[in-house]
Amino acid sequence: MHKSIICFCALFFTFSTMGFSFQQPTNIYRASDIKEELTKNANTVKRFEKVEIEISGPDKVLLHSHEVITILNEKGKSELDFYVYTSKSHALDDAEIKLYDKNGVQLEKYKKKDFSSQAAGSGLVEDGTIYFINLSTGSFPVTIEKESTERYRGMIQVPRFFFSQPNQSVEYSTLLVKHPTSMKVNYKSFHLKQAPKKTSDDNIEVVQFEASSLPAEKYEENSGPWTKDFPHVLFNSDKITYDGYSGNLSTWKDMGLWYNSLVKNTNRLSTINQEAIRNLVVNAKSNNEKVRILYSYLQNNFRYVSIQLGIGGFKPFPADFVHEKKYGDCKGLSNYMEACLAAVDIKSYSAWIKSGDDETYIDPDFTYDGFDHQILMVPAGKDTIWLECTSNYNEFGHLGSFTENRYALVLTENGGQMIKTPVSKDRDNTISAFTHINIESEGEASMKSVIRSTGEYKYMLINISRESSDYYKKFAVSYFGVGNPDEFEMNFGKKEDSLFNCSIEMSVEKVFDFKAGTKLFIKPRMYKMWQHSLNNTEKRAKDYFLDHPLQKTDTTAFHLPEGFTVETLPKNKSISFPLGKYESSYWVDEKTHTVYSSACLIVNSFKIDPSQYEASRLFFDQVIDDGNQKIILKNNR
Amino acid sequence: MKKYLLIAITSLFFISVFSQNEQFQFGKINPEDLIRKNSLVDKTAEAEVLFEYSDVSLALFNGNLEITVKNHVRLKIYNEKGLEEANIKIPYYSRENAEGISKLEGSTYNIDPSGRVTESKLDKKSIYDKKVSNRISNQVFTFPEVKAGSIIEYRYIMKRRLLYFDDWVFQRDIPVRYSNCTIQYPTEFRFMAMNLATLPMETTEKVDGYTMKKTYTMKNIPALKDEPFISCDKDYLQQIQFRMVGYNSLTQNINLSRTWPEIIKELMDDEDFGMEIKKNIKKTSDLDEKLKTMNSPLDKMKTIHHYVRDKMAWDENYSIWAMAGVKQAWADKKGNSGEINLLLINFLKEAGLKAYPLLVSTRSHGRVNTSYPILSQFNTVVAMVTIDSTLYVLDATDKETPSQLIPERLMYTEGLMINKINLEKSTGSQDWGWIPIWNDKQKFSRLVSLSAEMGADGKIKGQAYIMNSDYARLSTLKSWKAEKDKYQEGLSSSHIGIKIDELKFSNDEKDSVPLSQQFNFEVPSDESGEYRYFSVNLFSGLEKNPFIAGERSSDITYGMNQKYTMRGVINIPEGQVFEELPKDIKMVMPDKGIVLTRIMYATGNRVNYSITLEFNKPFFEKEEYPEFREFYKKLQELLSEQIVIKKIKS
Repeated sequence: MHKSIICFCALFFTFSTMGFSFQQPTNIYRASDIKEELTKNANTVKRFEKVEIEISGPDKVLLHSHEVITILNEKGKSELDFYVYTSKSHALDDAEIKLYDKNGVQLEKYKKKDFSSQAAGSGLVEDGTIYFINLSTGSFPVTIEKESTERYRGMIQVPRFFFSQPNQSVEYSTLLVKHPTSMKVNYKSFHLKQAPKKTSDDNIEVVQFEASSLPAEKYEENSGPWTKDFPHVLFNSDKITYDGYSGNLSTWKDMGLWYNSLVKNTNRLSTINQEAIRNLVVNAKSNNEKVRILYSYLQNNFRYVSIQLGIGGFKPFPADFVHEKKYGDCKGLSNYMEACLAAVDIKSYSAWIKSGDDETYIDPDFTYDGFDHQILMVPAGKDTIWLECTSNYNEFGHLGSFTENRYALVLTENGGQMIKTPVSKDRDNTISAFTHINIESEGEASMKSVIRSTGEYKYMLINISRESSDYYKKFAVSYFGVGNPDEFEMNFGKKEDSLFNCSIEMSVEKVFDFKAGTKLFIKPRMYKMWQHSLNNTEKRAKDYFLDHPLQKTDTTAFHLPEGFTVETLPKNKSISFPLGKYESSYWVDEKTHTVYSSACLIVNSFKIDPSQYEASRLFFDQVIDDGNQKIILKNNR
Repeated sequence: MKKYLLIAITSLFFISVFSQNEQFQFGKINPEDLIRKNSLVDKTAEAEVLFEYSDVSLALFNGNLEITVKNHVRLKIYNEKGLEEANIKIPYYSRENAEGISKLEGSTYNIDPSGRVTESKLDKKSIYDKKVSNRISNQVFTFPEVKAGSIIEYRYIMKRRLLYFDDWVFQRDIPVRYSNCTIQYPTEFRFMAMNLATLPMETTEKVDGYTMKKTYTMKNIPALKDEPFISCDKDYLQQIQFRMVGYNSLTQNINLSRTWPEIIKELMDDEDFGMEIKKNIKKTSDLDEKLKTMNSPLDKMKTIHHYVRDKMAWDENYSIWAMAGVKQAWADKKGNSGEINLLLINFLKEAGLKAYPLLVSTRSHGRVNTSYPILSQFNTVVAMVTIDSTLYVLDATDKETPSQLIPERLMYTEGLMINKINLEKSTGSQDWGWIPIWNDKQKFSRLVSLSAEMGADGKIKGQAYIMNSDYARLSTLKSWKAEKDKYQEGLSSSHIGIKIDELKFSNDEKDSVPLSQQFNFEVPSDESGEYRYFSVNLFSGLEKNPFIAGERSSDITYGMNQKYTMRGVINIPEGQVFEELPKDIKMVMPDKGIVLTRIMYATGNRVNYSITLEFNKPFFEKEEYPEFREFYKKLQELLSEQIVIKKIKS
């Protein structure tokens, strides 16, 4: 305890001489000293934090971090874990963790030697080791103090810094970045009220960011990555050296040039392999056809394997290696595809992108490597083609919700360029079902559906087709919402078909949901038109992201047996909301003794604006509710 | 002529023997397997192990014991999902070179367009050695040129300087056509094989000179499936475990095999167990004060149980040992399950209660097989107390379970009670033994009572009163405490458009009485033409049917008996009448395992209903699944039946 006080004072002293001031902490270890307004919505409170990034050269960076966090409840438990990802170029020099009770009395103390270590990553092969320690406590609140020094031997950029995260309030947090004046370090801050302070002498420039008394904010469901909405700072620098590769990463253009220096000699095939590739397209009439053939060759013969090795996962396997082994990661496969296209004289460019289902945000105005995935762009003006090289079923030129509708850094021979990937339209993701139901005299029924899909629905169904047939039924029950069939069979068409086919045949003992006397109450269609209702929240503040735009149709024909008459049909429905519309209708064909129900849902955008949220919520509830209507039949026998 | 015939027969014999061995030779691929589109064991499988061999031999090498493990696996990939099987990780114990892998080789086989088998060898440079932790490393690789239809094959030799044989697991998450494990060791050694396989297994045993050779073979093993309400995967995994139980040579006789009494004796003498239950530990004075005022042993027990679990933080590790010592754990106010519960036993004994350590295996750790006296079958220890011949099982790592209730993770398991033991006294009643941790009366019990009225707009508004007892109380309390907002959302998720307000809990601090909840609700009814209909199955938690799979390979484990009661009164507006109501019914499984009773009657504008559903068994065996599934389906249909009302024509 004594030691840490001295440490603390020394720290203060050093910085006050440099002309920086710090807020005098009250008692940052005692939970009861937290102001009430900072406990609202909070699971943790950042009492004090000071992170100092000391850059002494393009490949030498020290990061000192000191934070004191009070954990108010069980949900803030993850702060009891401390872990650092280390690699060849990133080491944990020293660390100390202390745990205090709610009165600020120190309970435990750990040093780096007490930590465990474990290989990092979920991929097959990855570089790196995680050092970690997990503390436990019987009661809350508790306060944890973490101090550490990390050393980077070359980095491609200064790590981004977050002042807070969801359900965390902040008493005081500061970040200092020191660098030699011979290097330029740029920054951009987001959601930060206070402007940074800058000082410099002849050799060293220091910039300090501060935040204090930030109340805790909640993360709103489906609002995309929380990172974009919480206060943080990004950095870049004009001089970096990483694993011997030097570059300027302060502009997108230069970031691209740096990449070019990495891939030199890896993105071209040997003469023999080029010949093999050319043989595949001898009969192709246009460039577009050549790209199609080679993409389909890639999809049918290569597989994605997660191997992240070498320089921070930047340098791809050489194209010849991928050609021979028939596997690669996203970089290896895009790079290979680029090499194949080059072999047939078609220019294409690898592109870095941030993947994920939500429209993931990268600020095009500030150069920063926030990417985690690589795709390929084949430029051709308005007919430009984007290829996802890790998927063996994506449609030609369709990226899907994993990477569409966001900026990608296209790595051209002249450097990097930020270009937005295409946005899918509702007609790109369609699913339509046509079902015949033959009802027998006791209400038992056999049914057969044909389901046709494109885009995301096609990908979903292809994935399902690869599961075991046990799973087909589970899927049909949970996703489509079919009842509990006695007999069930699901068959799939070929993934090459642009309209992916799947058929479902099943029989049920009772087609009706329930019976009252002679009346049978039957749901109007076998498949759900919409899965989940949107949460009923008081006030939505942020955009709500749907998975993708879509078109869904369902037509169901109920073939009635002798003696059955239609008592009541549900009312036709036609509703709309800012992003689309829903229609359903019901009719009887007396001649064939058949009841028809049809429904159609169109959603033409990804994003629900907060002002449209309530209307959207009510809309989807009505869509779900329409599926709860009943066709009422009467058995007259 | 005869002579020729003889030759022909021998060569035939020879060939068939040869081909028998040949098919397991590295690189000898049967083209039929390459062409095959589906597994013969399970036609829907994404991949299949064609065979898997492990040849383990223990030998003296330069005066040291060394174990050599030769493994050889051949695998067929049927579709894209199976491609993941081509990514291989072989873990080994790398600390101080205790284990080392050598001669790793592998190949991918495909058929080229002309129908020939092609081989692509695994490149040595593409094999990575990755350190996972201080002790464990992995050999990691992926096969070249793999696609749906490929066969992959690899083998390696592992040398081990530790004296143990791996458990041999026949089963995987894909089917296995043939799996064989051979162990060989000098006859001075004795090994016990703990057979946890329930499917047919062939075994052979042969002594060859001074070597004992045993083989274990299984064929056509289906994949281990993930099913709802399974007790523990491990209980069904087809496997065999080996334990060394002795060494007998001319000069030395070591017997490592133990009977349960011997194990108990050793435990009682162990400094991390038996010695830890007679420590004199200083409690805080407030407890002593409290205990002084109490006479009833039951009150004392409860007080001590609460005292320990409130004071001690569990580090979430299960152990039967108090490695750090109960004194240290008490000083730190935290520890593993062994430390916390042995501490609890100390306090209980000190207060004059009959308390004993009870070794148990939590349900997720798997069933204990009492015929194999092996301590590692248990993963934790709890306190067992008898008061007036009533048995109490206390676990102070569990913050919520009341003292009188058996902890859910132990319900319907068997525990081993540990006490001082006299090995010489072979007859008479010994004060140790197997304790069934069963109590049919402790159930998951929930009562949902509604009183509501339908308005002219079709909305049903009213009050709900829910009572949760025993395990229902615990599970409700847990989910409510974990996330109070989410709990209310969960309640309203059973039907679109439900609104709930003024949710109030009472008796949440009093663990001897049911937990009660009260709230106001509003739920829309559905409408078609002149009909309206609504369900009374609200807030019960019985809205979904998890049993849709046609077949079942594991028992269904609820882990306790259950009772649901739903009753209430609902008024409908003037001008509306009830159509025929859902029928009164009593539905009973042949063995009375599940009983459903429904009574409904309407008078004027009011309907009264009462539905009870009782599960009188904590388990349903996989053999009874067809009836169970059928019953459950009917049950779900009955529960989702709606009350229909109709406008009176004027």
